[in-house]
Amino acid sequence: MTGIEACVFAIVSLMAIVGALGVVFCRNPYHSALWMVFSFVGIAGLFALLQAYFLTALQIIVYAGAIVVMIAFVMMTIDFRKVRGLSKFVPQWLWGLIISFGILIDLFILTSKMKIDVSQAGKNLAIAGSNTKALGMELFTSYLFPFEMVAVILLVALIGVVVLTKRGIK
Amino acid sequence: MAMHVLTGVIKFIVAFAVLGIYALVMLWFERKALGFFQIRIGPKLVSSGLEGLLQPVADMLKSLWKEDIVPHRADKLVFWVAPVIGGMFPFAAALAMPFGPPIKIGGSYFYLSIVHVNVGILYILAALGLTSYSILSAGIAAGGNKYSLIGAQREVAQMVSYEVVMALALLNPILMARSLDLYEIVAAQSHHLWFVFYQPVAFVVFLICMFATAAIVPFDLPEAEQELVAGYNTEYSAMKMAMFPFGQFITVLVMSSLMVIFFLGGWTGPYWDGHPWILGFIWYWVKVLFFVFLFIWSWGTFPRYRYDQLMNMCWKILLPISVLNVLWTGFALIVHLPMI
Repeated sequence: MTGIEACVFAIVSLMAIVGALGVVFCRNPYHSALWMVFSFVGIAGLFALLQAYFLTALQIIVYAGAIVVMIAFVMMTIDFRKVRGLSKFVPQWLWGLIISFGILIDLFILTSKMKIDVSQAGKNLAIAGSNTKALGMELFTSYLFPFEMVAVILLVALIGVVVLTKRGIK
Repeated sequence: MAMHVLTGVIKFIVAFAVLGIYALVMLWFERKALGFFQIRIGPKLVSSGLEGLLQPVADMLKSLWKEDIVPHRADKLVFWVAPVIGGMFPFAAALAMPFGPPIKIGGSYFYLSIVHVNVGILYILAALGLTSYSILSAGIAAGGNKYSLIGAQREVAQMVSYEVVMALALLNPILMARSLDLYEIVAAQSHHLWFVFYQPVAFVVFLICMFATAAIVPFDLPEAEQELVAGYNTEYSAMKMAMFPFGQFITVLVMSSLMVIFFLGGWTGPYWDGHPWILGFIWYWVKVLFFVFLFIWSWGTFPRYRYDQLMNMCWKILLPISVLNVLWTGFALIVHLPMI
């Protein structure tokens, strides 16, 4: 990792972390959504540093461009004053704190045990210039069954939503 | 390395200047052409010798000196961020747009786009997808203005409808060229007919989505003047308001160039086999500017769709057609039908 890459890495990882903190700490739900987009752009930058340009673009198109847009769409039906009156923490906040703290410690132990060689970053991802092709080959040969299973599960969720919401309507 | 950075910076400055001038000329041309379609003269008083060509300059100076009004109940930060997003992301998309055929210097090629990645089309789609946050934010930040909010809501409904269909329409040329690189998609069309002759259905579908992306008249639902005052930018004034049409004009240019690259062979054309570079350049811009003109033409011609009509059309007609088209293209490529 050269000097410029390290500098870019610092910027994009800071974007991802600051964005994630913004999601949690903002009281206005629309601000949270915008911070989420900011965080996703940072994560996309991390993919770009690994030379996985296909994943970079998909990260932005799918997460920032579609999912957060749907979240923001829901916000148009929310009464913002009511949200402001809510209490800061849910009743079961203690359990959440314990679990997330455990995961944090876990990550620290893992990173200190594993020797991550940053000079090799992105080398095995950029196969012959195009990892789009490699990704497609892997998904449709080695991992075809899990891939199709995920598609079926998503379809089930889709049908489930229609069934649940249209139950009362004839 | 230093050389790369230097050429990158120079390209960036040139692109910024070209796109800025394009937006100004477009502002004039749009009003002049609309005047022509509606049998009136259009702007003529500013620089009367030049058919009012300096009108946009006067408009810009006016916006600079106008009072910048922020509503009392507005969400100040988001209200300020929205026009910045609206100007910035279409510009970011335009950075990956080829401004002409690659120039061959020695053994290597010099590309006229600032960002040249092997997933160019995905980059452009991502940047255009993020553009909708400007309209969304403008609607929500306007402090409870109902016109703004309804405009923003329509934008979201419109965007989730057309984006899926547009991606499926673009998938056909991508499958045929076997690449996501804009330059390779053009190169794939230089050996035989343009993709529009193999993919007429995808061409029509993309043509419809093109107007929906740029929110130009048959689908200008977010700012339907007759219903919503000015839609999402009702509360905006001065320079902030000028950023929205700037972004929209850049989107028009990017969509036109995508259309030309994916379906009309980019810079390939009759009497061009790669060596007089300037002819390829001319072919490319003639086609792109024709589509830019087509946008204004439809602006002055068509009535507006209702947004439930748009969603009906996208989800119930265009989506099944596009899926079938993709299946057919895949089948034809597998069995080697004589189309490529």
